Amino acid sequence: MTWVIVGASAGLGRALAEHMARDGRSLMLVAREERDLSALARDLALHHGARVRFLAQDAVEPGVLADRLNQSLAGEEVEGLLFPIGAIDEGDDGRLDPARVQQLMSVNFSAIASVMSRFLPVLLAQRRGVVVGFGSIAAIRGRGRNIVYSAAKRALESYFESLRHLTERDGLTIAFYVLGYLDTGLAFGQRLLLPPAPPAMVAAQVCRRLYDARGTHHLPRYWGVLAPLLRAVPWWLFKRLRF
Amino acid sequence: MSAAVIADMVSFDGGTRLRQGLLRPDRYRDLEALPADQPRIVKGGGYSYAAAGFGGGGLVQDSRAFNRILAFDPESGLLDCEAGTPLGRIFELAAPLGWFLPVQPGYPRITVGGCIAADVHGKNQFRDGTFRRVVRSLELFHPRHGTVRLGCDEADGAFELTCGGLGLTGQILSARLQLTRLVGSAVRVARRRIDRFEDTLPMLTEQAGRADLLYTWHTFTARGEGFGRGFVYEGRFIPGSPRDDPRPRRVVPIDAHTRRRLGLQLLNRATTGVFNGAYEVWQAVQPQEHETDLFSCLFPVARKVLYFALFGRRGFHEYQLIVPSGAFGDLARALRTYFARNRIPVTLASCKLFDGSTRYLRFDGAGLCLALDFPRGATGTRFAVFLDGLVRELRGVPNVVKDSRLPRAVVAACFPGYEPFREALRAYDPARIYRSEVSERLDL
Repeated sequence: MTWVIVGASAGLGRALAEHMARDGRSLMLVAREERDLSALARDLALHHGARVRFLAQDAVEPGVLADRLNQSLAGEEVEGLLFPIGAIDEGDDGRLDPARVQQLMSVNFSAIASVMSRFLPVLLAQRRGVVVGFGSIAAIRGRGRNIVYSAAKRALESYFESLRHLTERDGLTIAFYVLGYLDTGLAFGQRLLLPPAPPAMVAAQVCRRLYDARGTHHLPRYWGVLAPLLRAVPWWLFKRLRF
Repeated sequence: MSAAVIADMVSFDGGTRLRQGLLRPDRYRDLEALPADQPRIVKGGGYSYAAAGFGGGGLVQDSRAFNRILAFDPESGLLDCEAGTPLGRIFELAAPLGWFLPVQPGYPRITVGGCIAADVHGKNQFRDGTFRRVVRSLELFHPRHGTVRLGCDEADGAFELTCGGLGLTGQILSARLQLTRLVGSAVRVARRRIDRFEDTLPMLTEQAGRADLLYTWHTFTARGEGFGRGFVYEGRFIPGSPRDDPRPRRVVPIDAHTRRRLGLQLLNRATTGVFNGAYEVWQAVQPQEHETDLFSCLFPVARKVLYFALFGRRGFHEYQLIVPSGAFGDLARALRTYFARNRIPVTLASCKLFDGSTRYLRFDGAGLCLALDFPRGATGTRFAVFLDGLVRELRGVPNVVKDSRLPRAVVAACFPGYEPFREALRAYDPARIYRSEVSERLDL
């Protein structure tokens, strides 16, 4: 039974791959660059004896990604799909080039929805399977930064809620994690309000509850308290905040 | 690629501090994303005592995300890994399969790239040589040359320049290493007393042929006839002892920043005598022979990082030098005379035998290697300057990566390979894109 990790080459995706390989799971790693994936797959196979395959495909072409992944796993039982994929753009302030807007939407939302459109029938036929999505605290409130990224992540949260609603009686486990600051390439170099969490720690928490973490959760957990507070900030005050 | 962060950088000995742009690439494409003419330097674990992994006015690229082992053949012992791979990861994979790296420094978080760039030595350089001897090939990226694979059979090429090249030839991406088969994973260590410093070389020479690990410890706080007394430690693998446990070992973390947390310099003139005396007494009451596991033997610093932390924010000096065997008598006499007149709180004095020849700025040669640790301060600096003169006079070589203060004039005078190294670097990279504080200080 194969676990698919889309966005596996770095950050949380790599930490998830390392954790799941340590648990002896068979993995299909998906990311843009073959060099990164090949190195990771070989390391995991050597250290943990896990079966690790990879598919190098850019997520800016969601349809191609979904089709190639589907072909790669044709006829295989897929136990779960995890989507720790994401991209930001420093210039994401409402004035991005339309092509770049499309790319950000593809990587942060469309690629996931496209892959799921291919694999949902498989999971429904199996009547079991795990799907894990990852959002961002950036999508809690719309700000003047990371505008397209936040919108895509909010769309993703809605998508996962719909997915859960759709599959409620079909034995699938649909989980969505709203992630706070992580010590990854996405956050490196940014001024953060709170210290970033190590990806390995977050990966361990996700893997510990792979089969029973239905619904939406926050990691690090204190964001479960902070997120409602942030939502409750009145507009007259929120518009004055710069973060 | 993420933006650069302006970060505080400090050498492990605390001697050099700078604020500089730091990048933390975690994908291969990030390495190639910088403009080709952007000055830069690659940082590994950050355990170089000199500022070899930062400075130079460019950007610093942290290489620690590139820490994967790519292949290992348990038949031949050949291992491919990325340059950011810590030595401890190689140990965890290879030791349970009956292999180990015969040449490695004593802390498991030091990276393979750092070992190549500094051409480090291990516990028995006399027999095993320096790290260069275990490198079969390496993959190097430089914007001017692209990514190239360099083999150890290139006598005069970039391979020679990169091993011990202080990271100035480009970014080492990966390396193929030849591991050595373990005859056993337990080590029997025998301790013998050295009555005075002058006895060190004969005792080491006598044991050199039969030891797997060989080094000494001395106290330089003792005066008179017993100056430099101590112990020689000879380790031998116990054949047939069970293979190492594959579980990860406990390593107490330390880096150049956490080492400085203590405001006070607790190892100082007042405490060093007590520190050395306590160690000497503790050793004297231990059995003359004991067995230890391979990990503890190869990585003695893994759980003893407190020693470095006790030097506090101010830090310490380490002076490591090789003098020809024929000059050992002069070295011993000069040190005895200096210590009779000056109170230098030497917290660690250790010797090893070396055999080899030096090229470029590699810390290699034939003779006796002496390492001295002492607290950073005015007295320590004066002593380091004295050692600068001594190593020149005795036709020895100092270790460039162990001293964040070493002046260009000393390096130029001691290393016949200084000018050839400088010229070869300039021929390989006329724009000198890879720069560090060390390269600037030494005018490389």
